Amino acid sequence: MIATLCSFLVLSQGAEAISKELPNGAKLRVERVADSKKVMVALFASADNLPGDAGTPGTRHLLEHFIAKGPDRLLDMKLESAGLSLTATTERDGTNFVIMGPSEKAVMAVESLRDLLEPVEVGEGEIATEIKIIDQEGVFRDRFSRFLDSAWLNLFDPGIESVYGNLEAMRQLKPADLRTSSQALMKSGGLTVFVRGDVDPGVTAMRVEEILMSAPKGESVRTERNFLESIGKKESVKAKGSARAVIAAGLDRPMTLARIGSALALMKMEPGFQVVYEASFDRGPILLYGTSDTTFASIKKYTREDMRRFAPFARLNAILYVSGLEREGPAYGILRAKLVRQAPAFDMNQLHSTAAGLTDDEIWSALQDWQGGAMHIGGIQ
Amino acid sequence: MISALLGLSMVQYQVKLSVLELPKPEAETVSIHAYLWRDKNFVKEEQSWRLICAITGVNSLTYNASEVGYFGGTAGIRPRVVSSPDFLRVEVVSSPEKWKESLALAASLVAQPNWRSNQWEEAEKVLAGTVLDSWSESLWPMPEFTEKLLEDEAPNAHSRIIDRSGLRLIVEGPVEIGEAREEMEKVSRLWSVPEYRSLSRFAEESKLPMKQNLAVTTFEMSGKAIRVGEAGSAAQFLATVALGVGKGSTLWETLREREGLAYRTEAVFWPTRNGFVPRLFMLRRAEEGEIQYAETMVKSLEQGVEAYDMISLARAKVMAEQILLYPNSFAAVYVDAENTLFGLPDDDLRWRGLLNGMGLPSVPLARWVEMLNEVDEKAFQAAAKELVDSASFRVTQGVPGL
Repeated sequence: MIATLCSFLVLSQGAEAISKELPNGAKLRVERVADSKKVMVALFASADNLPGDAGTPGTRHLLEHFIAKGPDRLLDMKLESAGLSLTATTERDGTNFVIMGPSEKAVMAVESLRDLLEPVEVGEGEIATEIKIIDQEGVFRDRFSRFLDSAWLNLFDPGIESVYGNLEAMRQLKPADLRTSSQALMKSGGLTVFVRGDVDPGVTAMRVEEILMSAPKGESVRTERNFLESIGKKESVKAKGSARAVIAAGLDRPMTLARIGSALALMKMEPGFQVVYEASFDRGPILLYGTSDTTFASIKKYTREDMRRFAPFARLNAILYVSGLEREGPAYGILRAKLVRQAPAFDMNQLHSTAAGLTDDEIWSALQDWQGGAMHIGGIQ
Repeated sequence: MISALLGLSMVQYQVKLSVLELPKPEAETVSIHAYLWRDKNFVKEEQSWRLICAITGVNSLTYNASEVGYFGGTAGIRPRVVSSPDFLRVEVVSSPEKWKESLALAASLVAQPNWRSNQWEEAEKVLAGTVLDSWSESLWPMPEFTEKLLEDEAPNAHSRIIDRSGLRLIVEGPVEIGEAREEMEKVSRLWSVPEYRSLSRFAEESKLPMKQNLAVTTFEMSGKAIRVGEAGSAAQFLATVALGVGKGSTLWETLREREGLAYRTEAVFWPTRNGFVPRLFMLRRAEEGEIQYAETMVKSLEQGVEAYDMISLARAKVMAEQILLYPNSFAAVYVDAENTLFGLPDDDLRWRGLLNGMGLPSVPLARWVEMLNEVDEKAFQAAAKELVDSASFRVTQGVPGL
């Protein structure tokens, strides 16, 4: 009876789908896309499984690197030899693993989840080498990273730390710490698997269910993101440029798309802007970053009268943004897995109509945020 | 006499056309790709080329911006413009009923930019303020826009390039052979290339910079352009995959996983007018004395190649098929400066259009995968060795501590 209540079958856009919540709290969704010849398997481990990175900023990031290698460090080689590939990322919302490839290898792709759920067993030498790699990764952190970190830290109570981590602190981690943290990260209560492709949903869901039921048992206690008022808030960071940040309530809200659309429109009309947003159905900041401390002066000129021309362009950019989200790459898999966990009732297909239906008032309100209402972050360098 | 002189000074040239028609009766839409290929990448035209790429698609002498927008509204998709150092491409997807209008629009956007109303000054400002990330900068460095372009500079470059290279169109869908060409000949009958100043025969060709204003240093080994379909090309393609594509590649396994030297190692196939150039990259934090890592990179690859066997070849074949035909995290075959083959609906057309522009037979992707599967171990090993031994090495130094 419980199983019947928790699972349901839907038919939408020609994709037969099964969604389930398992007794141990794990969630899954399998969607068939007939004749696509492709498969995508995404595992999302909520950050709530390891709150505050277990006291060492960057623990989840380091775990992501090790988990992706598999217990025998041969996971990539095995997958690639079968035409599959694995991508791993760490975000504020959680740690993500996406396996993609031909649907004829769907069983292998799904079975690889077992490797990802294994506790991390590494030696001290391996930790040292991996931290060297993460140090090198640091150089690719975007110019806006410090501004984004500041927004996460200062717009929430308690503040949300950078996921990249503190290398010095990470160097102190011992193999036993990583083993314990990896088991916590893979606690069933915070796990979600999303599978999409040319697969039999019933059979695949059964297989995923069996794997998820083998995950370490444990509840995932959701940490509410209490946000602070952005108006009038000012911070500074040691970096070049300047930024404005505003809290978005989630992708399923029109104002999120209005702010993204208007920011993207500004970026295309005025030099030196970048728009940053970690797509999510939870609260998080949208950042408009300017490469210099004077970049924002250029957007003061837009007035309500300009909405006749500005609003359609912002709307178009919101639509293009949504189209980009739907491109079937790893980011799409991660977003869909998050959706299952964070907003299961929301239909992704609504995003297009929300973007197309943004009103001039919503876009004007969003533009005013960028002109002044958002948190101001100045760069000092 | 005066009018004769005036007539002489107003000489204009006919736009040269090349049309490749790929009938696909079962298709529900017609895909149209219009290309402008550069004959050479001259230093003098680098800024202009970036600007031409930025303004293409805004409007043309035949279609104003509203008409282009209206087309997007009625066809559902606005023309998409992509570019690279060697070419730009306008892509239009059309309903079969409107394909001739779509063809005319795509061709016009490439061949007839309207410099009076395309707001090129604004586009130039945006370009001047653009800061690329280290990966984009490694692939196609942004020229410095320290001096503003003269009013006629970009139009002149456009006229010169289109006069030299012509307009190249690729049409795929439920169309008959000869229809597209006939339509284009009709449409472009009155189009002309405005008079332009020639470049000096001593004009310098562009070179990649030795320094970049980033915290990253780029180590790059590049091989000879792979001429898809020609002898040895399939083995060269697989050798590049084995060396740098994916986490089982030599670059990843040695420089990243074994040495911990870099986070980002990668191989890409870069589209140029001569073919797909294999480019092997290691990007790392800029530091003093970093030049030693160039030797480490070469030695790692040399050692890796020595150990290539049937398993390496098998992995390369599987990986190659994935990056050519399906969405893949390690997508490596660039179809312009920003996008790779990714199993998308028009990828085969993009690939075939590029081959056509490279002067190669337009081998479909599926056929190319079959050709890759015919490569034997000996040819694969020889191609890998040849690539590493003959590659040119380039280090673009970043700024330590930036």
